[in-house]
Amino acid sequence: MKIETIHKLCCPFDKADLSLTEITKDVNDNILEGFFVCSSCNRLYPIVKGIPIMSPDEFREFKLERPLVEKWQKHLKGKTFENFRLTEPLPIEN
Amino acid sequence: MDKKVTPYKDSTLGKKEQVTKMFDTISGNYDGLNRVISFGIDIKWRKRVVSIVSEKHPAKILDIATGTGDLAINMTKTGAKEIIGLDISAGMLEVGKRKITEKNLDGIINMIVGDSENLPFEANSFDAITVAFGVRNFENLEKGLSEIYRVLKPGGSFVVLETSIPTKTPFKQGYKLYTKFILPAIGKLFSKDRSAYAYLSESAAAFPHGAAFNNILNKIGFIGIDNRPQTFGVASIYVATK
Repeated sequence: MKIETIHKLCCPFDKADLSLTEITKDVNDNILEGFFVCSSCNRLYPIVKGIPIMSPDEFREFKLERPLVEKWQKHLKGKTFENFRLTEPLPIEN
Repeated sequence: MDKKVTPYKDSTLGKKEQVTKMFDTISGNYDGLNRVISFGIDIKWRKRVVSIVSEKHPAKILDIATGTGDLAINMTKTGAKEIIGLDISAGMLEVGKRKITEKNLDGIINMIVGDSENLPFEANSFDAITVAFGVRNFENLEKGLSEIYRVLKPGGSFVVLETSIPTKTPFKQGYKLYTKFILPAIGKLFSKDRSAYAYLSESAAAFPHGAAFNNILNKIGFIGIDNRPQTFGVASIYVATK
């Protein structure tokens, strides 16, 4: 996906801004792998083979997406991917 | 409220989920099947849509329910700099993305897996928006059309190509026989999912076409609405402006 196009996208549900993490690009600078995170609802939208997955939660497949996002662990800055959202890890209970 | 026409009658899933599942199932054969069931006329109808959209020389086009990308690929003929194809079925888009890469159009056409009722674009983003054979699959037609209206620029064109039902004899009777018996049989040859193809014709019969669809466009806020029946009325092209 072209970077210019990516910059014009917003969250499909609350229309808030998205922050982009680029992971791999092709020779023309198109993004092949990466993800967006919504600044309001914290939903994470992966970009797979150059195609962003931005469908409603009930159409997404967590089982397929989780291994992919876990592969990007170092880009998640300590946050966890749960219920399609990037969240702060829960404090460990004593 | 009319009873909803859905692909899998016994399924407890919502219409949108069933439609997604259906298109993911039939995506591999979809292009070939389209050519057969419409005797190749759908190519001509898509060309008409392209020529209507070209009139205003749009720079940025959104093709909703783009599926395997046929219309998005045709839209490159308008000279648009940027074309986005959106579809809820990842299976259909994967087939489309391969076609786009083969044609070396990755720099112009981008694909997004998304929902027509929750578009990931800011208001007033596109010069033209097209939907070919997709609006009748919207779970909530008015919500989908309102989202389209929101992301279309003022003065931008909205062009819909959709099946409709011939109202004149003998086309009316011929169409009924064709969709009830012949279409599902051809569908079965192409795919094991017979219910998917029965759905394609049943949903066409239930969809508000002609003046009824014009009225809905008007209610959403579109202006300059015009519907142009194609090939005895088996399909219609609707043109509207924001």
